[in-house]
Amino acid sequence: MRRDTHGFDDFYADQMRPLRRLGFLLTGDWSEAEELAQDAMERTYRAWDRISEKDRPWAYARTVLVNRHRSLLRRAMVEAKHAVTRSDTAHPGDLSEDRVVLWSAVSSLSVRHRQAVVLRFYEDLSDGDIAEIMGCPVGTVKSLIHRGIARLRSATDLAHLATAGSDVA
Amino acid sequence: MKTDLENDLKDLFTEMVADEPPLGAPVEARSTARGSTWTFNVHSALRGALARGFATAGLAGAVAVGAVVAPRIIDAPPTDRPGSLIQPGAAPSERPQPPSSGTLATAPDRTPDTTTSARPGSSEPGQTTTEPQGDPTKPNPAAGVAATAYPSPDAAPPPEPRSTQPPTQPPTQQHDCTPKGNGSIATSVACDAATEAVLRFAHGRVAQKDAETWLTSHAKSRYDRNESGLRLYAPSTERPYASYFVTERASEDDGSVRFTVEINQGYIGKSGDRIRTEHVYVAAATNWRGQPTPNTMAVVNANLVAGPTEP
Repeated sequence: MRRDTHGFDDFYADQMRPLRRLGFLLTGDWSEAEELAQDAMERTYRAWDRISEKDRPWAYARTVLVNRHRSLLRRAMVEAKHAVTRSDTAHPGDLSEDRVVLWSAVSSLSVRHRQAVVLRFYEDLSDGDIAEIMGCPVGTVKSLIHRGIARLRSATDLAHLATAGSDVA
Repeated sequence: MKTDLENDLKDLFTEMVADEPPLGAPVEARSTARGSTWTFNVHSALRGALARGFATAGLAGAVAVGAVVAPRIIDAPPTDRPGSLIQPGAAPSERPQPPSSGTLATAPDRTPDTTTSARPGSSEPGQTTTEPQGDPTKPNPAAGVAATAYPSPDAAPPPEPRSTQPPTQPPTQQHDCTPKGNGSIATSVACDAATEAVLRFAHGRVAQKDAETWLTSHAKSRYDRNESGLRLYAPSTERPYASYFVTERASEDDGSVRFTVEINQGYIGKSGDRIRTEHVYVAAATNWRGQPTPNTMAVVNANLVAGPTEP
């Protein structure tokens, strides 16, 4: 198999870790994140010949990762595996209580909401970029982010209320 | 204008990824597939494979792209992939003795290397990589198969003489099923005909000199037309590598065994990272006699299993 890999090595060096971090924020598990990132890189490599700068390889790789994440979760649900629950239980031990609550809330988001929120607030991508990566209209992205934030706010407020209630009691 | 929550999110995400482990670091994995539970250190890629459960049922819906079977032992090839057989020809005359004892599964021997490399253009100069390093062009008996890079088709021929067997003649040498470096084999998996076929194929890929002779003309044709999902060669301009893992998934019943062979192939980038470009799984099972059971051995390109929709 011959392939022109010119430039891919640099792309890999630049993007492997950011992709893995994105995968972690979507799955909560570093090993799954690495696998997602490797898969995304593998797919990007296969398409490298036809990907040009105009096609934005970084967006292509993120699209593959996001799709792969979704399909894996779908399959996990079919197989009755609790990938999300299992994965997202892990978090750094030195997180503050507020952060733990917020991370739990992020973990409870639906796949699409979580993807949109992570792409926006971690990757700092525009609505247009997120729409391209997630394969949906810009309006949908705005809605996903808006609702995702609303659910996060609701979940964290509830947690704070519960904490306050227990303190009072 | 970002709200406090949005700022908190940004900080949270940054904090969460701050504890990023090095690339390729082994992780503790636990598999409960088929009721068998064991814990072992395994590379994250394999852990991911185990987590996804490469049970036969899971493979049923997969797009099968090739077969590794021992025709003299297996009566029927997989029905969805007729004819794509790899002929070992000389069936193993004797089964090697199973490993005497040890843990149920072994961790792939991927010693982390903490070489620090400043990558040109990288957003993180000086970051630590953990992928195995070293000159892959030099034989490394300790590292075994995975560290044995095979030359590209354009490269100079290997120093050792190539087999003069005609392409249709399979290698007659009994395959050595002992673990070799990164090519780890679960210690409890008897090296039966099926395992041997898989490992011989994997070694053939690595050595780039026998794998194709294992293919029937039909399978060879599929390979040449790039229909098999198998690619035996790495990019010609890069330093290629290949590695495999053989891991028992779980015992079925009465001593039968299911195992998965994972073949990773790619090239070694400028920074020394192993850049994976191919990812192939082989699922197989044996009965209590150690014979492979029909329709359970299939080479499946992982990229075709529930893969993403490419843009």
